[in-house]
Amino acid sequence: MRFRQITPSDPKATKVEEMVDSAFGFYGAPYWRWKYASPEAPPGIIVIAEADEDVVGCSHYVSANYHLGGETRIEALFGGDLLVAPELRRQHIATELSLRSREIAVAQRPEARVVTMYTWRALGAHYEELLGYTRLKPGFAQWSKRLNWDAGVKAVLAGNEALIRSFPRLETADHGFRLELSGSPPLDFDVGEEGFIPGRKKKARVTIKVDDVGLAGGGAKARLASGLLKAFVTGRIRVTGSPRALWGLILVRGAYQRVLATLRKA
Amino acid sequence: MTTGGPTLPKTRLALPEDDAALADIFNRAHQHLAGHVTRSAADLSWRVRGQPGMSPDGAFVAEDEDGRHIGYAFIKENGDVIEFAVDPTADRKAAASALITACEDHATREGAVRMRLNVPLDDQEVAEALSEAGLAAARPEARHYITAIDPGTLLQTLIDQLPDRPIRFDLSLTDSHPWQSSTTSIARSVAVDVEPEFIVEGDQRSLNDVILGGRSPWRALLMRKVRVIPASRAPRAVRLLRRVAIDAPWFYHLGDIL
Repeated sequence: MRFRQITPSDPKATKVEEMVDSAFGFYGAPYWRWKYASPEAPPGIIVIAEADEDVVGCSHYVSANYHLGGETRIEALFGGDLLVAPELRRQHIATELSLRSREIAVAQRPEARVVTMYTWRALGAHYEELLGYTRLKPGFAQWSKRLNWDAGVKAVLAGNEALIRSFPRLETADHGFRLELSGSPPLDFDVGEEGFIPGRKKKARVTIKVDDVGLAGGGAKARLASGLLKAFVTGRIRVTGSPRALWGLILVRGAYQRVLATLRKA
Repeated sequence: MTTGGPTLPKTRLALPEDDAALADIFNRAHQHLAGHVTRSAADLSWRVRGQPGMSPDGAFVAEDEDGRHIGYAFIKENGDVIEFAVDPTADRKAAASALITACEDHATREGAVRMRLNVPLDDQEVAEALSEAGLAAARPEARHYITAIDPGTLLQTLIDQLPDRPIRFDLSLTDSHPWQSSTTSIARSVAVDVEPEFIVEGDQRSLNDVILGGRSPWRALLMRKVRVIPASRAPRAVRLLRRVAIDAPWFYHLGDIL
């Protein structure tokens, strides 16, 4: 495997753009060009990993003069957009790419004093463990509000109706379900053999309170009962309701996970 | 365009000619925070207005009764508020309410399914305004990590920015990388060939924790993560480390981290 720096005009940059575009959606190729290739942008550093002349990974840094409170300033490198081709993941390429790209970036910017990055918790733990990074205490909260909620939810659920109804044991469920997603109006459903029907008439009720992080952990990723249980235990998802309804939730947890994952995309 | 009730400040589209005043608001509002780039009008032009997905009708400025700029917000078509700042001397809650109303109207019109923005944890007035507007706070889905490229050079850079006070000590890294010195002589207003007052010794992670991560130097000493030689100089070394350590909360706007 070979690691080297390229410029935005390098022929291999097209492949990098494609990788970024497929990975980051709204923040894909146009955003990449703005950040690394626009003339006003501070010079960025793009490092690729190549195997047999194919681009299999990329890592990026931008230079910044950070304000540190008061009058203190420092030159920094801000790392991001680290990607490895899906078929080559779990082979420690990202770790090697992180290390090698950091060496290249540091050599390019001798005035830099720190390297920072903002990344997912799981990946961050990796940075702490293997690369000696320190986690900063969060200095901010992310505030959010769902917009165009009713129309969006109904459209999303309608599009997944057949899938949700196909989950096993859904016919055994017979309860109402209220979802209290932070930043959103509460959503009420009846859960039964017909699936998740908006509006609530059934007496036994289960309420799920969840924020966006819990929705990601308990909805999209927790495919197993243990994952859902972990989301409950860690408080990322809070569930209240009648014992009968709670039992019903456990029985049809697969359908619930699908609904939560679906709503996350709404 | 006017938004909000009768008690809220007026908002209008923020034009490029407003940018110098907006950059001034940003810099004063973020003075106590760490981890951002000081703004200028040119900087706003590229960093904020130039972002993909950012249109001129997603830029708002709030004005008080005298027409003075008291805050601004930039929101993308997908509902991400990429920059939001309120003048520290203004009625901050009212200004924030007016701006978030303008943002929500815009995002709803654009068909966005979610509006989101980052707000410093200590900003109670803006938090109240957002809460009243129906927004909810959550932990960020990602975290911020940092490492010194070379702790010795970093310490020297930070000490250089302190008010002049003579100091001379050595920093000894127990796990130095090839691009780092295992021992760095750090001096301010003292010749480097003068005998060091003390030696601070530790590994990368522990020194990162103390200098950048807001961890207590005393705790690092007690846990034997960091040593001061001779030990009798520990109080002086700790005072110095506490002075240079970056203790301001790190804050990024969405536009900075995406």
